[in-house]
Amino acid sequence: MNKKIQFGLYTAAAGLALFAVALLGSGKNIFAQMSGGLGSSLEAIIKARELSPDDVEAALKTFVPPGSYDEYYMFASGGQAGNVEVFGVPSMRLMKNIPIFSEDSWQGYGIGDNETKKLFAQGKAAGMTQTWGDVHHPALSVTKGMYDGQFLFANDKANGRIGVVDLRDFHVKQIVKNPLIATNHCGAKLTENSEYYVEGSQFGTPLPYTKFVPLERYKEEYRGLVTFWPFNRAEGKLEQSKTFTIELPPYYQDLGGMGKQVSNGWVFINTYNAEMATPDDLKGKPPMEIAASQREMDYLHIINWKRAEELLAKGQLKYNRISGMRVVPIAEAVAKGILYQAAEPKSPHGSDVTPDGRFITVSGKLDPHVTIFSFDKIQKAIAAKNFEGKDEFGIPVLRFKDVVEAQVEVGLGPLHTEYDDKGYAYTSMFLDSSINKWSLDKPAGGEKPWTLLQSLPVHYNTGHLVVAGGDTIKPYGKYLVTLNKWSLDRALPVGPLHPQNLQLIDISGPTMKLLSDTPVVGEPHYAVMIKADKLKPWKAYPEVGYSALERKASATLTLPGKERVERNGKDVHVFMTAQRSHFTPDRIDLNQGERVHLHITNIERAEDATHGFALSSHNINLSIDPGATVDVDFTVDRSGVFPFYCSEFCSALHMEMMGYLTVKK
Amino acid sequence: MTSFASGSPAVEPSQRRFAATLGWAAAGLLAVSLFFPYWQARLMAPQYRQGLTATMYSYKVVGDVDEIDGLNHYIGMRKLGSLARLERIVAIPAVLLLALLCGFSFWRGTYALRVAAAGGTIFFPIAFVVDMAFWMRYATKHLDPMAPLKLKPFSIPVIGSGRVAQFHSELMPLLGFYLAVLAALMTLGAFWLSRVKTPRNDLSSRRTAAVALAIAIMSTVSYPASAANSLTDLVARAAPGAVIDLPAGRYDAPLIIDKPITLRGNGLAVINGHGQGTLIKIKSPGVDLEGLVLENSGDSLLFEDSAVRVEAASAVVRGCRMSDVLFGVFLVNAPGALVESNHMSGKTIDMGRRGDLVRSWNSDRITLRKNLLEGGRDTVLWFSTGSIVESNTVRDGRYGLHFMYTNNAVVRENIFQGNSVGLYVMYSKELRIEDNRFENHRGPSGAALGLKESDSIWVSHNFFLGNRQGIYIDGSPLIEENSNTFTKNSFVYNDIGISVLPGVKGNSFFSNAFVDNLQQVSLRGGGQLRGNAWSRAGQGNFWSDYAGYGAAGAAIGSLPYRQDSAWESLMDRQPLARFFLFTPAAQAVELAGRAFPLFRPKPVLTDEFPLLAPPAGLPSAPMAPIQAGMEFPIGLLFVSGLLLWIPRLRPRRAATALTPQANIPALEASNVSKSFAGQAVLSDLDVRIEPGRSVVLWGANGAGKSTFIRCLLGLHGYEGSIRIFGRDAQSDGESARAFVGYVAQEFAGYHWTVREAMEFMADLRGVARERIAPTLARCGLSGCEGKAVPQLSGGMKQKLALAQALLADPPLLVLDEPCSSLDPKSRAEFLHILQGLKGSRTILMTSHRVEEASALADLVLWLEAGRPARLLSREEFVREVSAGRPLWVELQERGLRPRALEALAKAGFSAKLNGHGIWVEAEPGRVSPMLEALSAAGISVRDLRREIAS
Repeated sequence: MNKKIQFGLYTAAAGLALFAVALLGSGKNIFAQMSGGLGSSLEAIIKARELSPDDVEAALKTFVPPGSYDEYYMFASGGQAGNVEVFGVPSMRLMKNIPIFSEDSWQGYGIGDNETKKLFAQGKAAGMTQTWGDVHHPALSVTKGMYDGQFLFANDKANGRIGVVDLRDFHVKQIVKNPLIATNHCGAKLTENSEYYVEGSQFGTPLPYTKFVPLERYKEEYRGLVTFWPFNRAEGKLEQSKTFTIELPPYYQDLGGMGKQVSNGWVFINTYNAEMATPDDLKGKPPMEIAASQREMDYLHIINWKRAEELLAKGQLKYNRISGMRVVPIAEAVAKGILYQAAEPKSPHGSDVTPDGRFITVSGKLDPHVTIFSFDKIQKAIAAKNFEGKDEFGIPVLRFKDVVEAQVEVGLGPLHTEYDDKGYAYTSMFLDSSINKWSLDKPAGGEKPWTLLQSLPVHYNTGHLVVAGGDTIKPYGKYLVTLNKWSLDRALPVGPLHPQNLQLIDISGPTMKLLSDTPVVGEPHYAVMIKADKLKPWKAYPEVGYSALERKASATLTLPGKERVERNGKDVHVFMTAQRSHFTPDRIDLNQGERVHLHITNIERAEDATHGFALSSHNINLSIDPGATVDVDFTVDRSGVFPFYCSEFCSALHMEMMGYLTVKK
Repeated sequence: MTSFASGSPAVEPSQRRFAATLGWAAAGLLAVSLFFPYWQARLMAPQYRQGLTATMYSYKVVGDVDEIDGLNHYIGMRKLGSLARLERIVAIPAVLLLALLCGFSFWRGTYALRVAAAGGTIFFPIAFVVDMAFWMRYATKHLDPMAPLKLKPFSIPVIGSGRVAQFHSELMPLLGFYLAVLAALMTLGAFWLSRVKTPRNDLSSRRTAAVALAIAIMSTVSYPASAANSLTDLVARAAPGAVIDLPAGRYDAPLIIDKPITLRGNGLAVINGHGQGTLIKIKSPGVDLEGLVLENSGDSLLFEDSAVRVEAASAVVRGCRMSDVLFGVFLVNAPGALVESNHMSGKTIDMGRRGDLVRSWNSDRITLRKNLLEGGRDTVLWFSTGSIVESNTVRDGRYGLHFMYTNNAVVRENIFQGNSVGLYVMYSKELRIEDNRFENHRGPSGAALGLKESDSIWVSHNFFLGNRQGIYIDGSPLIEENSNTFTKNSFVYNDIGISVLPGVKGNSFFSNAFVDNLQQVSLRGGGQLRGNAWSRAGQGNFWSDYAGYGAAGAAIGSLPYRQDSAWESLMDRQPLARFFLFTPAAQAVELAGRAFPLFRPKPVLTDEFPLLAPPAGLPSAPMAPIQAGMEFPIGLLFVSGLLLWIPRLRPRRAATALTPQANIPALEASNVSKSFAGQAVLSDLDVRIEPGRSVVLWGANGAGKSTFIRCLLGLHGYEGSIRIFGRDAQSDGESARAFVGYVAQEFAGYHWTVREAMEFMADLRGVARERIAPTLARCGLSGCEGKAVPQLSGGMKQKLALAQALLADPPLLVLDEPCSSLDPKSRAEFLHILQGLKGSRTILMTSHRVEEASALADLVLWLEAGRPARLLSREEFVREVSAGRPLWVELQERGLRPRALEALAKAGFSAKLNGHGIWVEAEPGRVSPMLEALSAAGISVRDLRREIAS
C-alpha cells in the first residue's frame, strides 16, 4: 500500500484539473453557455424542469417554431392498424394518417364510399374482403436509386397484399393481392428505378395457398416465393398480369434487400425456419419457436432477377402458370443461374444493402456479430462454382467463408442496419436495447473499418431503425429514428396497452445523441424518411370533380348549377355539391327499398376546405377534399328521418351545413 | 559432453585459460544480472507528480504496476502482467543456462558450444530490447476499442522520452542490462581468444545431435505409429451394453454409434476428423464416451460440424480432449446428457465463424461439469430445463454461457474469463447462479451476467471483476412479483457494476459489495429507476464511494447512500474525467452541482442502509481452480486486500457549509494518527490553533507535514479527530472544507487564461465574478487577466493559485510548500503577499525554510519523527533552529563568488566558499540586508537556505 502513499501526492489541484479538463476539453465554457448566456427566465425554466445541458441541447435541436416546417417527412408503418403514419422530423409531430388496409372514419375511408369498396374488393383475400391489414414495411418509389417522392408502397403481412399510395394526395390508388400466398413480409424495397416492387412470402404454404395440402406434406408441397410486380409509374399501378414469380423453398422468407448500383439486378432475401418445422404441439411436437431454432444457420437467398427478366423476355425460362401468375420452379431457377444461397447466422433480421451496393449486412438475431457479405465475392464464388453443398431443394449454397467480407461484433440481438452518408452503419440491437454505430470499409472519419464505434441505449427493445434516406444510394444522414417495440415507463400510463416509442437520434456528429421520445399508436415496424422538398403534394385537387382513385375527372362529377336528383326505377342518383356552408340539394326524399346513389362534389377551390358528409344511422361518413367527387350508394331499407351534415368544420356556419334524407315506408 | 579438445595446437594454453576465466566471469555477470533491474519506465502526469515507475527485470516487472494497469485499463491497454508471459517464465532458466554454457564452453567446451555461448550471450541483451520494444509496440497498438477512453494507437520510445495524452514517459536501461552487455562483450573476447575449431574427430557434438534427434522423434511419435483403424467395425461387432477399450492409436472419423455401448480411450485413442464433418454421432440412448481424444472436425457452420453430436438420451461424454473442433458437444433432443471433465478448444478462426463448444437444444436435465472450454464461440442451452452447469471454466469465447428458454437450472462454481459476455440469461426463469467468477468480459456489451426478461433468478456469492458491465438487467423480472435477488456478490473494478434499464422493476439487491467500479450502478439512457429494493431487513450494500459515516462500531452508515447522475453526466460529456476517478479529484464531485449550476443531478438509487464494510463471507479469494485456473491474477489478492482496507481509505463528506463561529478554534486536532503499511507517519498529534494565527508546519521530508495537510483536507482517512472551525474533517468533510482555501506546491493549470482560471473557480465555489479583479490585484496579478497560464512564470502561477484559494475568502488558508519551486525573488514576493494576509485569517503553511517560517509564522508546529509534535512561538523556533546555522547562498553566476565574499565582508558578514555556493553567517533578521548588499554589488542570487538540524 506504500505506493498508495506516493500516489497520495495527489492534491486538490488534481480536483481542479478534473473540471479544467471537463470544461476545456469541450472547447467551450459550459458556464457561459448555461448561465451567462441565458436570460434569468430561461434559467428558471431549466431549473424548474430539472433539465440537464443535454436536455436543453436536444430541445433546441428538435424545436420547430410555430409556422416553420420540418426538414423531413417520415412515413412509419402503423402495423396492425393497417395504415402508414406521417411524421415531421425533427419535431416528430404526427401530421397525417394514411389508411391503406383499414377503415378510417376521419378520412371517410371505408365508411361507405365506393372508392374504398373498390380498393377493398381488389384486395380480397381468398375471396373475402379484409377491412384491416398488418403493415410492416413502407417503401418509397425511387429513380436512379434515390427517392423521387412520387409513390409510397406498403405491404400487408397478414394477407399477402400491397397498397400503393400517390404522394400527391396521400391517397391509396391500388391494393393488390398475391393469389399464391397467404402472407408476405419482405416487400420493403423497390428495385433501383422502381421497375419492380419485390414481394417475398413469409410462412410457407401450398401454391396457391387456397389449395388444401396437409401439413405432413410440408417439405414436398409447401413453398415460398418471390414475386416481381412491375410498376407502371404513369398509371401509378402494379401490373399483376406482367408479374413473374420465382418459387422458393418453404423456409420462412424474411426481409429482402435490393441490389443497388453494382449489385443492381439482384435481390437478397433472408430466411428462417430452415428446419422446415411444422407445428402440432397438442400432439407433442415441440412448439414452433423451439423447432424453428434448432439449426445453426439459415439461408440467404441470392436471386438474379435481371437475368430472370431477360430470359423470360426471350422465352428461355420455363414457368408454370398458377392462379394466373407465372411461377418459375426452383429447379429451373437453379438451372438457369438465377437462384443461389449462402448460409447466414440463425434467425436473421435485416438484409441491408449498402448505398454503394457492394455489401449486404445480415444480422442473426441470436448472433452478436453482424455478417457482411460481399457482392463481389458472391459473384466470384458463383463464377467459380465452388459450393459448400446444396440444400434439400438442390439450390447451391456458397461457402460462407468465400462470400463473407467481415463480421463485426456489435453486441446482442442485432436486427436491422441502415447507413448514412459518411460510411457508417447503424444497427438496431434488440437485446441490448441500443443503436450501435460501426464503420464500413471506408469511414469518413478514418476509423478502423468494420469496427464498432458507439452504442447508444434506447428504450426498449428496438426493432427497425431508419436513417434519413437510409436505403437509397446516397443517404441524407443527419437523423435516425429507432422504432421501439416496448415503451414500459417512457410515457404517461394509458392502460395495459402501451404506446410504442419512437426515439429520434442526431447522427450528424461523431457520436450519436438521443434527442426525443415520441410515443405512437399502432406498431411501427419500419419507416422511411425523405427530404421534405422532394414531395410536391397537392393542396387541392387539380380540377373540380376529381376522382382520387381514378386520378382523373370523375364520371359522376357535379358542377355548380347542375345539382339534380335522377330516378331510374328503384335507383335514385343524387348529384350533389358541397360548398361553404351548404349541400345542394339539401333534401333527399326516398321511399323504403330504393337504392340511392350519392355523387357529392366539393366545389371548393380553397386550401383546407374539406367537407364531410355524415349521414346518421347509416354507417356513412365521407370526407370530400376540395375538388373531389365522392360516391356512395346504399339501399334505404328502414324508414325514418335522417339528418346529414358536414362533419369537417368548415366555416362559421358549419353547424348549419346540413340536410335531411327522409325515407317513407 | 565428457570428451573435450585438449590438443588444439593453435591456441596457447595461457590464452585458453584466459578465455575460460573470461567465460566464467561472463557467466557470473549474467547470473548476477538477474538480481538487478534491466530497464525502467517512468510516467509523469499532473496528477502523479512523483511519477509512476515500472521497473523491468529480465523475468518480472515491478513498481507501480497496479496503478499503471489501473490507468491502462481505461484506455484499453493490456495489463503489463499479461505481456511477454512466456519470456518471463523462461528468463531465469534461460539466463542461468546461458551462464553455465558460457562458463563451461570456454573452459572445456567444443567449438560449437563456444559459438553457441558467444552467440547466445550477445544475442541476449539485443533480444531483450527487441522483445521489450515488440511488446510495448504491441500493447500500444492493440488497444481495446471498447475501452472507456479512446486513444489513437500511440507509441512510446523504448529509450528516452515520449508523450501520451498528459503523460510524459522516460525509459532507460539500468544496471542489469549493462551487466548483460558487459557479459556479452566478455564472451566475445573469450571467443576471440579461443577461436580455433576443435578437430572434427570429436564425436560429442554428433552424439549429442543423435540423442536429441531420437528424443525429438520419440516425443512426436508418442503413440504407436499405426493402430487398428477399424472403429466402425469395432462398434459394429460390439453387443449392446459392451464396453470397448480402444487401444492407443489413431483412428479416422466419422463414427456413428447406434447402440448403447461404452467407448473408452484412456486418453490415448485419437480420433481425427481430418477437417471433414462431424467425428462421432450418437443415435442411441445410453452411449458413454470416455477418455477419447477428438481432433480436427470440419469447419462448416452450415453442416454443424462437431466433435460429438448426440441425438439420443442419456449420453455421457467424460474426460475427453477435443481440439480444433468447430462444435464440441452438440446435443439435439438429448435429455439427461452428462458432459464432464472434458477439455475442449475451438478452431482458431474468426469468432463469428466458430462453433459452440457445448450446444444443447431441446435437451432437458443435462449436466455440464468440470469442463474446460477455451476459444470456442458460445456455450448455449436452448430449451434445456432442469440443467446443471457447475465447476466449468469457460474462457476466450463469445457467450461464456447462454440460456435461452432454459428454466429451473443451476449455474454454480464456474469461472468465466475473457469472453465477450459471461452468462446471458434470456427468457428463462427459476435459476440459481451461485459462486461463479466472472472476469474481464469486454465485448461490445461486455455483460458478465445479463438478464433479459428472466424471472425468479437467485444470484449470490458471485465475483465480478473487470468487466464492462457486472450485471446487465433488461426487462427482468418480466413479472414484478417474480423478483430476482442479488446478494453477497462482489463487484470490483468493472466499468459499470450493475447496468439497469429504467423500466426494470422487482429486483432486490442487498449485502453486495461495490468496490471502485467506474460507475457503481448505471441507468441506461435516462429516466428513473423505480421499484427495486437496495436493502433488505435493514441490510444494504457496501459502496466504496459511500461518503457518509457511522458511529463507532456501527455496521450501517448513518446516512443513506445515494447515487445520482452527476458523475455520469460529467463523464458522458467529458470521458477524460474518468482519468481522475479514484484520485482525490473525485472529491470535486461534491462541487459538481456548482459546476453545472442549473443542473440538478437526478437520483439513480438510494440505499437506506449502506454497509460500512463489505459483508463477511463475500467471494474475494481465489477459488480452487478447476483444471486450469492457473492464471488467476495477482490483482485479485490485491483486491481482497482492498476490500478490507477500503473502509479506512474512503473519503467522507456530507452536510452543508456554515460560517465559522467565534470562540471555536480554527483548527483542532486531537490524537491524530496515520500510518501507511504499518509505518506510523503521524502519531497522536494534538494541536489547537486559534483563529487569525499564522502557523508554519515545520519538519524534515517525511516528518508528516503533507500527510497532516491531506488529512485535514479529507484526502486521507486517519484515526483521531480533526475539526476545522468545529466541523469534523472526515464525517462532515464538505462543510469543513468549505472553510478552507488551499494552495498546492505547484499550480496545475491547463490551457486557459488567468481570467478563465479565476472564473472557473468562482463558478465552482459559487462566488460572484466581481470578486475576481480585487483578488487578482491583492495577489499582484492585476493586468494579467488575458495571459495564458502556461506562459506564466512559476511565481506568477503560485500567485494565481493563491488568488484562486482566496477567491471565496476562506477563513483558513492552507499552503503546502507553496514556495518550494520558486526562485528567491519570487519567493520573497510571494511571502510578502502572505504577510499582508496575516491576521485577516488563519494561515497554515508547510515549509522547510527557516526564512519562510520566520517571516510568516506566529507559531511553528514542529513535526519530528519519533517525537511528539511541538507548538513553538516564532522566537523559540528561530532560536532553536538557527542558532549558529549558516546561510547557504547560491549565486546566478558562480564566477562572482570571490566578488560576493568581498561585498559581504564589506557589509559586515562573515562568509566563506562552500562547494558551488557560499556560507554566510547571518541571523534570520539580517537576511534582507545581506541580500541587499549582494544586489548592490550587482550579484544576483539563485537560491538560499539555512542549513538546519531537524
